[in-house]
Amino acid sequence: MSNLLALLERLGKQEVEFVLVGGFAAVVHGSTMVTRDVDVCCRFTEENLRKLHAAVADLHPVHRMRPDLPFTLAPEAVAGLKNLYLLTDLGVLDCLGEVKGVGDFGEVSKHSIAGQFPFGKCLVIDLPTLILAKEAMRREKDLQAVRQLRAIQEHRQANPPRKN
Amino acid sequence: MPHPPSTGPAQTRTVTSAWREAEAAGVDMSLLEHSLRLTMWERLVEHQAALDLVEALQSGKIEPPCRTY
Repeated sequence: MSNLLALLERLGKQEVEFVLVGGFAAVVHGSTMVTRDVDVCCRFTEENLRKLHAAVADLHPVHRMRPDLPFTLAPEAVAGLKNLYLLTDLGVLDCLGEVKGVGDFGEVSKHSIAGQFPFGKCLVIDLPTLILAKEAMRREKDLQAVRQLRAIQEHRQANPPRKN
Repeated sequence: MPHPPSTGPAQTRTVTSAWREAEAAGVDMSLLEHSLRLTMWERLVEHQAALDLVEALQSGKIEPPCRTY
């Protein structure tokens, strides 16, 4: 059984440098669509990959497209990586070097908000940028998500958060 | 006769074009309204519960309720 919450929590606790994107980010913003994976945009630096590996090492991580290949930090396995599609005991974790329609980690992080969760802060792609990214994908499921996200966006514009 | 469009989230009663479009596309707006009242973390917790249910149904661990007429 997937436990995407626990997967996200592990990334947070290991201080992986990432921005939550994709369907799980849409849920954070209020979407009611069910997603089966955690998508993050992250830096593919040696240090960040080490933290990412530490976060999932005991979850039998394998490359989703090649389940015969375990996720290791061997230089030949990670050299030149732009994306990492992992299958773990807690579910699917897709790590993207860039988000279509937005850009790389630096660009995505500029368009993010800080979500406050029990395990700490977590960057989440902001709503307008998530809509752009979903539109850029042009898949039917993304366009369905866009319909909800636009409704949420208009609701937010009509109901800005109250300041205490 | 089609149902009239919902009036959007309870606190606003503002019907926006995007809200209408989502409703016309079949989105359950009452569920969306509920979600918008939650905190970010509460949304993730509810999503996890929904995902657990989907996976349990698909694995045959639980059966969907029978319809009675």
